[in-house]
Amino acid sequence: MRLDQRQHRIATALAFCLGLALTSGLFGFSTAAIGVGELPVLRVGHVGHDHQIALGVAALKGQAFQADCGVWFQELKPREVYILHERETPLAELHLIKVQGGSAMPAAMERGELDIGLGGVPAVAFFVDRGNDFKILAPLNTDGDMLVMRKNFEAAHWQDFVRLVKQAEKPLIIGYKAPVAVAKLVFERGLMAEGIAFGAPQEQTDTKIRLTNLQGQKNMIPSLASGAVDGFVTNEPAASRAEVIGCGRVVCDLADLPPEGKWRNHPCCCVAARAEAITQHSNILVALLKAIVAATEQINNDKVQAAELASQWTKTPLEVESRSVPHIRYLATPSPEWRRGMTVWIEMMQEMDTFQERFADLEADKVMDRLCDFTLISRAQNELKAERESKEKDKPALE
Amino acid sequence: MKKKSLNGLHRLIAGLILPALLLGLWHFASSRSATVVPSLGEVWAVLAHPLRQPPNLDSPSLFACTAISLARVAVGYALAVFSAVPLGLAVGRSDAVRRIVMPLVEFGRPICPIAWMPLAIILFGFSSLGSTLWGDQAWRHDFLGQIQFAMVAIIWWGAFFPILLASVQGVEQTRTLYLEAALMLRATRRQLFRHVILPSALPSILTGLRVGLGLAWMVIIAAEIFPGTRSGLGYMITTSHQVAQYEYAFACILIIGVLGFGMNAALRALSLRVGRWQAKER
Repeated sequence: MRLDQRQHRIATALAFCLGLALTSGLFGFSTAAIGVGELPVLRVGHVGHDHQIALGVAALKGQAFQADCGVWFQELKPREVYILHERETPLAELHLIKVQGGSAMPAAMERGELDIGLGGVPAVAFFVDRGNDFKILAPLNTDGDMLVMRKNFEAAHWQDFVRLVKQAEKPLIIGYKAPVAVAKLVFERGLMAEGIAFGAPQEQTDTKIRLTNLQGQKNMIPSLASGAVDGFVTNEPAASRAEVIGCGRVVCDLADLPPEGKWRNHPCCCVAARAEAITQHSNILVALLKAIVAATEQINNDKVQAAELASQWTKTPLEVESRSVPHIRYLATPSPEWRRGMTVWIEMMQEMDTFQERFADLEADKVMDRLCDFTLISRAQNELKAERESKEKDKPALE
Repeated sequence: MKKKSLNGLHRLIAGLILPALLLGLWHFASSRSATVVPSLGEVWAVLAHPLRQPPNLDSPSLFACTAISLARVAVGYALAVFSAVPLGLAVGRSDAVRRIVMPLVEFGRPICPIAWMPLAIILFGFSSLGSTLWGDQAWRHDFLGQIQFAMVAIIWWGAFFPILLASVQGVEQTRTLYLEAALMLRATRRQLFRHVILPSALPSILTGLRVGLGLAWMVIIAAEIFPGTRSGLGYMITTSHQVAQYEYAFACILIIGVLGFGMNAALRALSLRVGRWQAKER
């Protein structure tokens, strides 16, 4: 029997659909079997590197985390979908969405694609300045920016680097990943403090350092390995990766750059949320923040285990994470140092005219008030404290 | 007979010269800069285990990435074919349609598909075939959940114009002699289109399809860095660059090359078959 053309077309379409379904079933794109009720869905954006492993630690520990803070994550799809529980009560379905760094996270929040975002403080501040109703709920980490030089560059610390730069006959070429990268901003101010002239490669001035935009972290290692640059400034874990691969060496932590102490504890990543999420799901956010606070404590108590979990969560080699995690300071509470660091950022962004609207002429304190909302993190800390105290009280009674 | 097989051997040897030189160059580069250029053995180790999830890379297996990229290209390309070919035929046949469509086509054609990425993100966000069908539960149907409309739109844009222009050209190149002969035989408009214009335009359309397919594959690599993407050959290439696991990037590049080669060969075979009559034409 011969098929006419129409039948042939229908048969082809059906075969295509069947093929697609078979492919999806055979190769791991299967449908999940676990069902959940009518839980609210919160979409959490993250960059997926080790600055934000507090979330990963809580997620990877699963129900074991309950003993510590009463909150735990039930895995539905590894590293992507979890149910957030408070003891036995499911609170929300969390969809963890990986986005690129920089402004990608707040941009997705602006479009309403994300309810909560884990990302860099300057990018969040920039988006709030231009009219978005986000709030920074808690810090995640500070520091973790490094100066990496080619292996044969004989500098062991910043002062060595300064000395060699001043002695050098030819300018050194140093790469950075983006024009507003934290590492670049700190490095530039460090050079200014040392009186070292710097500029872009095309500037025909008497510079000692030529700063080159490498257009993203992905180009740093090839540029260093090929000799196109003498070094680069970047955040972890990229600096440790260059060391492990063997093409570069970490010369210093940018937190140690002059003016003395100014860059120590400089804010990096934070937890931010849209105003709607804060008003509609404050209890869920408090529970999530409790998990982040408890996870941060665990990271700080055991950096070896933290590196293992970071490696598992970010799929980065353990050797890299073992070097990278100790370079990063993890915190979930807005400490006085963190607040001071925030003031430095705000003033610097105003100086650079990054703020054009709401924050352009506002004092740093007022910008902080508009940018941050620490009521939920305070609630999370208080609840956590009360819970732990009551557990301590119950202990002798049980014994 | 002997001469024929010798010719075949010559062709084979000629076809292998450049790939062999390329492999030699690769080996040389790898020995000079092992940090950035992986060895042939390292890349082979990745290719030999396509179903294994990379241990130090935030990405699904090579096979899963290939399957999802194929699906994304298939959807975007199919949309381009089904929109560009009919429109091209209409433009080729009607001056009125041409006057309406072509200015916009000529305006949009030189714009690189990647330039539309921000607009595609604004228009479609993270929405996908899966999220349209199942909303927040799209993650349960991961395959369709990963066919994001923003990516499909970019692929569509990349493939649309060469197919459209080839279709227009195909219709325009229909010989007047055939048209007049068919009209003399009192062919209806429909018969004229189906039995004269379409067969005449088909070889040109198939050439457009080949060019469009190549562009769709070029575009997918850039499109797969959209926010929320967690798989695909483009995603794997970008991720492996970011974490300096270059053997995965090289493996993906080879796979794209092989897929492109195979698909192009299939379309070429089809176009030779369809255009056989043209070769006999005097």
